[in-house]
Amino acid sequence: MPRVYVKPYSEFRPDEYIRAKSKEEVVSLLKQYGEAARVVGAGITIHEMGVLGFLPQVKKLIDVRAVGLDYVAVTGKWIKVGGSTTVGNMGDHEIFRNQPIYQTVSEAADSFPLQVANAATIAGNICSAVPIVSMPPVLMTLDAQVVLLGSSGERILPVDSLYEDYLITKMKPDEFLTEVQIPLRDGKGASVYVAEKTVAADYPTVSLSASVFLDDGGKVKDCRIAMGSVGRTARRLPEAEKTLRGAKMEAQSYARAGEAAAKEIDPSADLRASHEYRRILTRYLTKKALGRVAEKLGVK
Amino acid sequence: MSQVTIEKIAETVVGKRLPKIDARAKVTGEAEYGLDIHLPGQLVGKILRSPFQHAKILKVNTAKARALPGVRAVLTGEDIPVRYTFNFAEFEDGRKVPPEKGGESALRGLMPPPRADKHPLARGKVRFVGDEIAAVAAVDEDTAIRALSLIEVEYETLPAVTEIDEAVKPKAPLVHDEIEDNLAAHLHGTWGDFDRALKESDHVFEDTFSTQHQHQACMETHGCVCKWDSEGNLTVWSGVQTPHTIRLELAKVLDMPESKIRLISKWVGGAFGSKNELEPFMIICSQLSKVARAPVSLILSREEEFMATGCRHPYRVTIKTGLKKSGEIMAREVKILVDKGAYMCQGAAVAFFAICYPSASLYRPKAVKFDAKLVYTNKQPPSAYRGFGNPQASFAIESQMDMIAERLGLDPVKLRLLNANRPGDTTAHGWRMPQSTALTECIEKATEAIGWYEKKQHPVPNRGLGLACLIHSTGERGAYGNIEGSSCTLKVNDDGSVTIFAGSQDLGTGAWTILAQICADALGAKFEEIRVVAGDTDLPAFDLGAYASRSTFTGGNAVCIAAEKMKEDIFSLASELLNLPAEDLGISNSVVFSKSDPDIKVSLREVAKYAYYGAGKPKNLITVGIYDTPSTLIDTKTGMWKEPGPSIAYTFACHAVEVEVNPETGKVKIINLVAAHDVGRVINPTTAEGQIEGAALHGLGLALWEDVRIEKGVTLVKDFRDYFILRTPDMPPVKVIFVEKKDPNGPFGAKGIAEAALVPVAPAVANAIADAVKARVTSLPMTPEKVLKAIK
Amino acid sequence: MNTDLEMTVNGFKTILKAEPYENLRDLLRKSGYTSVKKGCDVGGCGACTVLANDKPVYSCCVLAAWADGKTIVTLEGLAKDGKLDPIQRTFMEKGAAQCGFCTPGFIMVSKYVVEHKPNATEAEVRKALGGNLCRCTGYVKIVEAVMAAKEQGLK
Repeated sequence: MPRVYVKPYSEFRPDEYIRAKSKEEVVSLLKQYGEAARVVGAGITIHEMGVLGFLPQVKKLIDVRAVGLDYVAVTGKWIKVGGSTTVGNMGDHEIFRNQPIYQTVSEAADSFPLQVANAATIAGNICSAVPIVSMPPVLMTLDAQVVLLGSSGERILPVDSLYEDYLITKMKPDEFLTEVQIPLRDGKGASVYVAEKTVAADYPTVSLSASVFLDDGGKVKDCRIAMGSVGRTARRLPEAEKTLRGAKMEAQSYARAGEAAAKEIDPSADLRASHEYRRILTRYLTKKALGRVAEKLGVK
Repeated sequence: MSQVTIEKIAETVVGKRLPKIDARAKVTGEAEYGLDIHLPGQLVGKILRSPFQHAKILKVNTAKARALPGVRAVLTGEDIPVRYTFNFAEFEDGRKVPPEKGGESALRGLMPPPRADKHPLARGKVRFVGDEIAAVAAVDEDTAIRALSLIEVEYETLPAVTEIDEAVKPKAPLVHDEIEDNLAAHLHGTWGDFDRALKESDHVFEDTFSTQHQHQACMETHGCVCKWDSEGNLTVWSGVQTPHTIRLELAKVLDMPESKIRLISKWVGGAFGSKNELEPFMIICSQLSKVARAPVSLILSREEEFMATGCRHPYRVTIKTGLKKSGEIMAREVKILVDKGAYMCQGAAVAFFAICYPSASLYRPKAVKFDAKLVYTNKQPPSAYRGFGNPQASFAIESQMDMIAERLGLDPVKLRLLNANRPGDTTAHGWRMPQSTALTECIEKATEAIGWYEKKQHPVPNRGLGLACLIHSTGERGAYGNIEGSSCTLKVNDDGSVTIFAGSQDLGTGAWTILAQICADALGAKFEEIRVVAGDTDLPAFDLGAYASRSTFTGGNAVCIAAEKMKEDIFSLASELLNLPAEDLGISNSVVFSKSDPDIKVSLREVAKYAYYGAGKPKNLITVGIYDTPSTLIDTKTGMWKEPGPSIAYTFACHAVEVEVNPETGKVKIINLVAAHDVGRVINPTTAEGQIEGAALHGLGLALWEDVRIEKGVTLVKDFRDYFILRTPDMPPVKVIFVEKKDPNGPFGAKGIAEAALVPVAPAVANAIADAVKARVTSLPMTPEKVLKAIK
Repeated sequence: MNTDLEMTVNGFKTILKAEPYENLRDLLRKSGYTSVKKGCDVGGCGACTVLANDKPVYSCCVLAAWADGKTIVTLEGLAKDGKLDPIQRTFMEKGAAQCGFCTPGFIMVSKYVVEHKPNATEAEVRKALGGNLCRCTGYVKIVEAVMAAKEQGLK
């Protein structure tokens, strides 16, 4: 029989909390400390990862609240959301609350427990790279991009191509997320967020965001479908989108999209559901979401 | 056995919706739970737990941990003497003492003596993931955690057995080396002429059901603070259900007199059965504190709570029922396979309860046969949980009732009405149903309130109705020795206010408020001037504890008795003050008056002043109330009870549920829940409703989601996000109906309620799902996946 | 290394010292605000809910340092001059507290709902309370207490 030695606990014991005063300072601190540093907002993600024992190497926490990233601004072609903006404040902004094209944001924000929405920042939600959180798929359906600031300057990445794997983004160690940018769009469009949960306030078993634009003939001109909790990262569903483009908003199209969606995902099993059941939910949510989009678009 | 006549006493406070007497402390945050206690010099205790299901402990090296600055005590299994093995209700010295004399538990007539199979810190080997191995006390939590990580344990892993079907196979790995078949206990027998009853049946049906690990998931995790003084007295602060009996067990384990231990348990952050027995953490904490010579606080984390504290036993229940053509139940056989986990805890008592309660006593089977096997596995050990075996067995019996109704083309409501227990019935095992029995009325009221027959006539797609019934105990004689009692000391203070020193425990149910309400009317004192001091083994009061839905009944009767005596004393003194014969005196609202001339009166305050300072003789207003129910022990020779059986006031209920099932996802939405209970006289409708509404949450959780998932012996549930408890938006409206039929033995006619309402929920939901989508789910929880599978 | 944090707790300006990894709940508890309960560690139960700049947050899953410069209210801070807040009163009257362990967290969320969403329907109230767990009441009396406090207003 094997002999085993077990060390039970790993430690999360950063020794310094640094309040950065400018974006430049954040970058220089990240450069200085590398893997030993982490940017924090409210600290929800960092605290949880710490409790779970994932961050024994982190020694410096860099507070970015004083660098001026708490805003939602509608300017020119973009809705710009500062990385420190809470999910709750973002969801409450009138553009997300009232304009059907962007409503998926408010609907997703409302699905958070109040106590989380009030503290969690949008940057934290995105950068945690946990597939069960709701904002990344929502932002993917709005073609959002993120602004990353690092020692070699700013670069922009679509949210859609931000994730590499479970808990891993394409961000470099010296980069941090300063802003989320959502393109302003015209046209006859609407978006929705739907989720299937075990009990209220749980993370979604499966979440789905969809955005649809119609042409003058009432057919789908453009669409995005993205999901959470159906793989190692949040993801778009290009095959499902493909079935929908050019189609009419009707039950058959929804079912076809649902089938395609269920096929292209690679869900895993956990306490909430088996992977087969996640496919079933994916079919169901695709249909439900598209039905609700159609309602918003006034499709009879 | 003293009985109180209550008919003559006017009810002015009993029956009222009064705020709980401890509510203010709770809404202001003043209530001090175990984790809020902070004594000078207090250390933090932590436990090192096994990462393996089954392994030999080859070596535990604590040198590095001991050397860490700030560490004050390190303990391993070898540091705690061998005699410190324990199990609930296991009277090591009392084994030779018969139950009639206060020795072994009286249930032993049909049960093997419980094995003291658990050592507070493992010796030799570990048996489940979470088994306690070592413990430390240090100046702060950081240091304690660091010290744990410095303890080096060398294991030799052993083949583990984590499923009951594997564990019963020949040559299966042995959880306890000395138990060769992993059979922790085997309970079997018959009541009545089973073969004949089966022969006389026209139909016989057999069905199998299974249930899961449901966790009490109290908001406050288990824990305690321990402190020794220089004379060797131990004080323990811990929120528990049973201060006296836990002290008894702790004294036995620590080999010290009970009176040298004081257990203080004023605030309990939820219990639901999980805090009614001695658990390793308390023994460990007491030893850490002794070694460190400082107070130690040991509070379990949520993860420890899920992996190592007792949950509900998973049962596989096979029910065989014989019925006449008419639907009359003749015979019932119940076979139970219990996943016992690694240690016995209260497993045998729980199984016996499941056999006695719904199996032998719900409806009127003429004969009952039972066989329960408790199988050791390398998993966390379940124990007591609200309902105590009844929910598992009732899920089987009440699901099967609907299945039978469908097979025979009978109406499930009428089938139940036909078989409903009636007042004065005697069961196959010798229990007498009380005069307050009102199962028939409960069924009628519940079905009426949910609109059963109208809705059946106008079915809505994917919606369905279901109902289920319940029998439960009010107190249970035989859990400890031969009592089912409670006592209190009543004191009218020198300002005329009243203090009840109660043995009864309050877990948030409102039991202490109930005692005050009963006292107000029984004594004729102002409710606002009654204080309850309880939750402390040093008080002049005794009680077995808050379990088996017994506090209102036994504690309330003890208060009535003390109040009667107190009135005699008050009248005797007041007659001196008023120059009137004591027989002419009455008391109400803390004023003693002449019954013949109510204008002649004296306040209780004046009587009290006279008693303590002016009577010119030693006279204090202090009385004691001691109550024991007129319930009976099992006759160990016949295996039957003499009437009335272990409880004097069995309670009944019927729940009706309306659900809507999403046929695409299998998700069940509970639309309505109606709970009709024959609770006897309701002392406080608010707290009584609170018990039923709260039990509904546990019942619906059992039905739909809650499951401490354990895979290959590893508990996957680590916190509340892995354990799906219904939230506020998930809960349906709960309509509570009291069928108030006064019980002749209850205080003001009251019966117990706390556990009962959990029991019928899951089968009612299963029956409603079957009605909605014609799909029967026989295993709990009925997750959307399972429901969907059953639909297809 | 300890960090000095300046915050207003229950109306008093104060400087509290916290380790960089410490969460706000542990800081408040060790500073004597023991109404802030520990039911879990990852924002699952809501027993640690406090108001931060008037909004409810899980104090167990935000870092203590996050509260720097903020106004924090715990249950200890609700009663004024011995007079209970209306939401505390209705929790008492309706029997919304059983074991009482979840009560501080529920009252803090409820306080926010009563103050900031006075027109909320019962369904909206239920949703707002979704982040808190109670194992005793089935939430029935808690919802009643919030509805009653809303009707009584902030008097």
